[in-house]
Amino acid sequence: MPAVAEQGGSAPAVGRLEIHDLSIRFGTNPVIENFGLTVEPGEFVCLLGPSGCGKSTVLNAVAGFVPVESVTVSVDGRPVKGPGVDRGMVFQQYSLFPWKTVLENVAFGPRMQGASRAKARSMARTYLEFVGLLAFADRYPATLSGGMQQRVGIARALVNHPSVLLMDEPFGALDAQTRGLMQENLLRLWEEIRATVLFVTHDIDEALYLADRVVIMSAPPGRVLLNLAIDLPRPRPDDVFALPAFAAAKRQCLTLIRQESQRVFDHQRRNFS
Amino acid sequence: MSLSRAKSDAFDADATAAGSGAAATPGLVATTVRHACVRIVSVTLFIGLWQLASASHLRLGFVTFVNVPAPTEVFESFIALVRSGKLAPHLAASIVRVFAGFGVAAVTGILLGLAIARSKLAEDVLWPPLEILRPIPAVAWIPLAILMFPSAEGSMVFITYTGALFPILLNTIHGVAEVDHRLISSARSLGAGWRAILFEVIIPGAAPSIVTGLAIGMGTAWFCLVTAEMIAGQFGVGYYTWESYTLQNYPDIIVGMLVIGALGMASSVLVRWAGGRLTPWRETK
Repeated sequence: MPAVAEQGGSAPAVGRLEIHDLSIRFGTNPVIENFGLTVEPGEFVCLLGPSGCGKSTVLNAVAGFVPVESVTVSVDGRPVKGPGVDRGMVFQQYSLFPWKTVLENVAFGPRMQGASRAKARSMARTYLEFVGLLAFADRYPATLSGGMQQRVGIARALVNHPSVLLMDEPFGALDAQTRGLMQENLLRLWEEIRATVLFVTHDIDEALYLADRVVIMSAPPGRVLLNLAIDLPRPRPDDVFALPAFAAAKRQCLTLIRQESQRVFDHQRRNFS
Repeated sequence: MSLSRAKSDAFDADATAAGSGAAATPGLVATTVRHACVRIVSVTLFIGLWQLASASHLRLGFVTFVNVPAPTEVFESFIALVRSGKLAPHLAASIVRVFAGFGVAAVTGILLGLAIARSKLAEDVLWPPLEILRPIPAVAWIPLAILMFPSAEGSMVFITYTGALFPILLNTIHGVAEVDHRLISSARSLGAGWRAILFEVIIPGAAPSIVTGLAIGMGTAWFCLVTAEMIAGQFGVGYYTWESYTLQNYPDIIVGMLVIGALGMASSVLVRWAGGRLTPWRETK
């Protein structure tokens, strides 16, 4: 995969994501309040929190799907005004175009960037090989397993060379074995491309396994509760889950998330009963 | 008792699963043949009862078979019609009218549907008058259509058009509304502009629903055309059927009915086949 590795390099200078004082309301309901986060170029950050805390809303704001005030979100100093190819998005599921083959799905981005059809296809082949699915290039997405579809989704996001990769619970719908394999694969890809990653999950093990830093969000209105740097060796050893540092971080996350989940529960009971 | 029963079922299930590759095929053929035989017997029985009812001039009080020709007479009339060479011009007239009305309805229905579903302005401007016209059955347009169009041909095509338009329009609007917003978001993230989103996301996403609308529209097109031909036509299978009634050629009425049914079925098959060709990703599921 030389063509992909070349685009990485050891010290990426781009992909600095800044979120300042982000507040989002849906109607009169505040979902996010005074949320602030800076992600350094090449850093892998997991956004962790109880369900309903607005993790995905933060991600959608960064992707440009939710309108925000012009100064609140920026990538490398450029304010986010809408969706853009500098921020690649991977959804939980069902986001491949069902009417396009695997190859056409991945070639879509380059074509939109103005690449010729032949050039776009050759780029798509490179990235399909990168995720190990070149043999399935001519299949329709519906004929692939959930895990394979997500690998195509990742290839489709990466082929545009985004400086920030946004992932919204990408492995949430997969079975446990597949999820573990996907996590390993993702880290291997990330070691090569070294893009900044903002990854939303509610799975503590997943967050600790993947991230350089875990950001825990509060019950709604969502804000940053804790910034936890993960001090585990990279590449992750097979027994990473047994390391004392892992157990300590997990305990810390569990306590906070249990407490926030309780607050979400109480909040819902107050407001919806 | 029930336990041993459950156990044997479980073993049967295993055996079926294991043998499904080779052993299931002959069983499947036998089942298919059996179903086909039952169906043939059913149709034969139906025609037989009809023959009996007609031949015996069956009267049931509220309905009578005195003037209903028997299947044998219908068959003879059909052969006579084919030999006379009069069938082709009737068929041609009807087919041209249906495809003219349906074709224009397909183009305008899909274009209007896309515009209304994608643009609030288009919805506000175009939808209210259509909403007023929508509940009016196409057949109710016949008198006005005869007044509006100088040629009978124009009025019949217009009636066919009106009948086919609304199923196509409504299914297009519905199909566009059902396109998963995550697909549109994904396309925007990948750098797609409105044109690419329309042609590569919205239209293919709505295509299955549009194909359904076209198939329903083809059915209503035939229904409306036959009615219009009975009132306004010269030539055409609807006209032929009605003319047979006025000339008291009763077997020809049923010949006309069966020809209309066959044409309607063939057109629906054609639309579904074309729809399948246009949406190949749906067959591979």
